[in-house]
Amino acid sequence: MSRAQVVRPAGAGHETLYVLLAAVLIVVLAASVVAVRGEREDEQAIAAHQLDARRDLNAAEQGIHTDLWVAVEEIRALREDNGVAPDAQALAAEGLPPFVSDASSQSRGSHQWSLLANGAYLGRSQDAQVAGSFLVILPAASDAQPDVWLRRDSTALPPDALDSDALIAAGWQQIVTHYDAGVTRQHRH
Amino acid sequence: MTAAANLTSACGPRIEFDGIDLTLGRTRILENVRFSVAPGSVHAIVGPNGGGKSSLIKTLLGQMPHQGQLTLHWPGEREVIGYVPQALEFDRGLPMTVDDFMAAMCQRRPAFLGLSRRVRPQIDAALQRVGMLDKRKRRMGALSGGERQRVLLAQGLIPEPQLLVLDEPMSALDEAGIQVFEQLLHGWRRAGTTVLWIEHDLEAVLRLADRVTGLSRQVLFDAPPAQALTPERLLGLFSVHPRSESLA
Repeated sequence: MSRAQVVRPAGAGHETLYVLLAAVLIVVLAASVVAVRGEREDEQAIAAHQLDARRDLNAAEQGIHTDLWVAVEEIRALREDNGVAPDAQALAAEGLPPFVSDASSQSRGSHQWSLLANGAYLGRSQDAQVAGSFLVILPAASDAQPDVWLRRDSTALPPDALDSDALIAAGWQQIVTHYDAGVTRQHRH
Repeated sequence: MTAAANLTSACGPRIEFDGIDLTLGRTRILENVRFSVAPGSVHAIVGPNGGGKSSLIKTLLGQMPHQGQLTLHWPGEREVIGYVPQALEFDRGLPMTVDDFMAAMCQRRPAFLGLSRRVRPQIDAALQRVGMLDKRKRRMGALSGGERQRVLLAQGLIPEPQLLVLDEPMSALDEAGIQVFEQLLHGWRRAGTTVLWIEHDLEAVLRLADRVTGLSRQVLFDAPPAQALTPERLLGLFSVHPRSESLA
């Protein structure tokens, strides 16, 4: 048996080739995984009757909206304790913003809060330039999110009905929050 | 089975250096080196220091980024290259005996566990051939330069090589060591082992080599020693500006 053995030059040439091939393989694998399993998360569009809580509210409205989300938890707890929903005066007596009248509520439009017969809370703005009027509908389920509506004209009459169509017809706009790529600090599932 | 018994079956390869170029950094070390080593011959390489002799051997062992074609034509199934370096660099105080060194070179079993039963007869035979059997318990650092060179020769014998590459083996050898080396060389020639041998001692080359190549960056001559080692050629080889004559 005869064999010719060629002595190959020592060097990193073929090793470099192998490393490059491995790198290409990794990139191709990663790209295919992204292509197969990746999901697009585009910005969610909001309806014409809705307002984005992050973009479409001014500072005073955003403050009231945030306070309302906290206050709804309290209102729920009180309702469970007492069996009936507390009225706006009781909430103000508890010192619960935005129902209490203090310096910040005055700077946000001095809303006049009242509990309507249909169970919603209405906050009528005294200065439509600063903030619109709010309507808070407490959901029946204990873990559902509150339904908050806004109306920016000065004639914020109590609505006759609380269904969406009636509110939209009356000129109310629903405040919605949603999670998309633009949100970095808030993450809800 | 001893190393000596193996010798009869060995048959060395033919080596073709075909236009070998070697550049390290910006230094041109070898330039179009082209010659061949006949199978089973004792081929000497002579030349001045820095002429690229050791680099050529490292190229043969696959340790240099050379250009050109270097081919080994193996005639048989066994393809063992034995290499005897010019010198061994280690701390003189290292507590390593001759046996430890041979174990480290020749067996897979860790040297501190002693000689493996499988290679022990070969190591005994190799040490016997270089005349170091009675000094096998000595520290490597306590050996003289010639004795250390003999140990290096001994490790080159295990396993039985078909190609033996020697980098100035006689430079450190004493008179007795040279006798041993010459006997080994005769043995390799009888066995058909190809020997590539770098040597400074031109008288030894003339006496012992089958063919000699003068190397000083390029091949200056490649001929049987009696023709090659003439005063004119040697003057040319060892001059500052070597001139090639055998390339034409």
